[in-house]
Amino acid sequence: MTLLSLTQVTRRYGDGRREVLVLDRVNLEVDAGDFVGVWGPRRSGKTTLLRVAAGIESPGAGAVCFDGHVLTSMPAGERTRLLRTHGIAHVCGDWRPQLNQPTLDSVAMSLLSDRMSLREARPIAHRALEKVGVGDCADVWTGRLSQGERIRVGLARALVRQPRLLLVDEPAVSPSPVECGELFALLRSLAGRSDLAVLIASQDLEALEGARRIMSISDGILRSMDQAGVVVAFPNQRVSA
Amino acid sequence: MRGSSPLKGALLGLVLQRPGHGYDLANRLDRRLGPAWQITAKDLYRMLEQLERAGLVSSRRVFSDGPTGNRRIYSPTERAELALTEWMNAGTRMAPVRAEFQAKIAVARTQDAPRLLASLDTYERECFSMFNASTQDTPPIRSFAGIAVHLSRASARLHLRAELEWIVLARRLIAEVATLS
Repeated sequence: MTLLSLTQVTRRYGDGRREVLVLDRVNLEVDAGDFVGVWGPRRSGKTTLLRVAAGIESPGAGAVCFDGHVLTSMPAGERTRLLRTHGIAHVCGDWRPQLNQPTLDSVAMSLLSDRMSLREARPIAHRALEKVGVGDCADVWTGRLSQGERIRVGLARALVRQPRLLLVDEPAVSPSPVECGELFALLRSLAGRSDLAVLIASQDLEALEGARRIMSISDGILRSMDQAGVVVAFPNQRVSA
Repeated sequence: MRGSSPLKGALLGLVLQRPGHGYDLANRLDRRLGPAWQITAKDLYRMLEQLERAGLVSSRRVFSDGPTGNRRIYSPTERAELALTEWMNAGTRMAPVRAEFQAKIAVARTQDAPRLLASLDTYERECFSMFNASTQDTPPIRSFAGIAVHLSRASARLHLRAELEWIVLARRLIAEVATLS
């Protein structure tokens, strides 16, 4: 079953003088429980792709649908309500908490808008921190977290909302190869859950290991690379043999 | 062994670690180096023959009633240890870079641009096929053998990433030149 679909999505950035085409008629489908990897070099359109897919950014043209709802034609408030619980979670490798507070509260606060008290939210937040391997950081203030710990806390903040789709933008942030490897293994184990679809975008191929489908993006064009090496016909592919 | 295939040095190292028959050595080499090296049985036996001619390994036929039949077991000679040390000390050469595609670009005409771009698309998919083939579980890094497997896979991944970034650059340049013409 298709959970997320992007159809002919185009996104341009411009300052009046110059215009840059960041996503060029992108088509993408993610099924429930799927694990999709998107590889692309820096400034290829990965971040914009994930922000548009998460409903954070609106495309200039094209449609984004989640679970049968057309996000692109939905008022912002309604979209936020739809995606908040059992919806789409977006985690960024370079995420930094806005407030310096105990990590447990940082995670628990992402549940407060669900009419849950901090007291009720804390045990759920603690379980989420343990699940992503940073249970011992619960009392550490967010300002003192390492880069590797921060992305795990970001994952915990996402997972407490029980999303059906997890979008991870550039998880390869830790300078330690061992720490990076452990994080990628965690993402693979999350992707192994049948109730969660995972889409990871990275320039580091190691982050995409285990993905059932791999795509590449460059200059805003998304290309599908299926494992059998057969060309998947996407309408945005400009060149044919 | 100076200046010869890096696989020959690795093969000698494996024979020194434990004598074995061709199939066993091929499996061990593949596990250590990963599929990116694309080692064929023909290459492996040719290298074993070369090592034997160089007096670095010796082989003996072992008779067996089992399903595998008779096998040739390769063992190191007394010169093998020194040859491996010399190989470890020797400098590393750079491999030639994308020779065939560079040659095609050098003589390409404007009308060849779509064919070159399609060829890049195919090459990109091949890179990802190779990546998919090399994503087995990596053992924990607790020994030099573990480091070798980890570094070998990291090397293959970084090499593929460089190839993929090069494809992006080549695609961009070809598209720009084709637009200008």
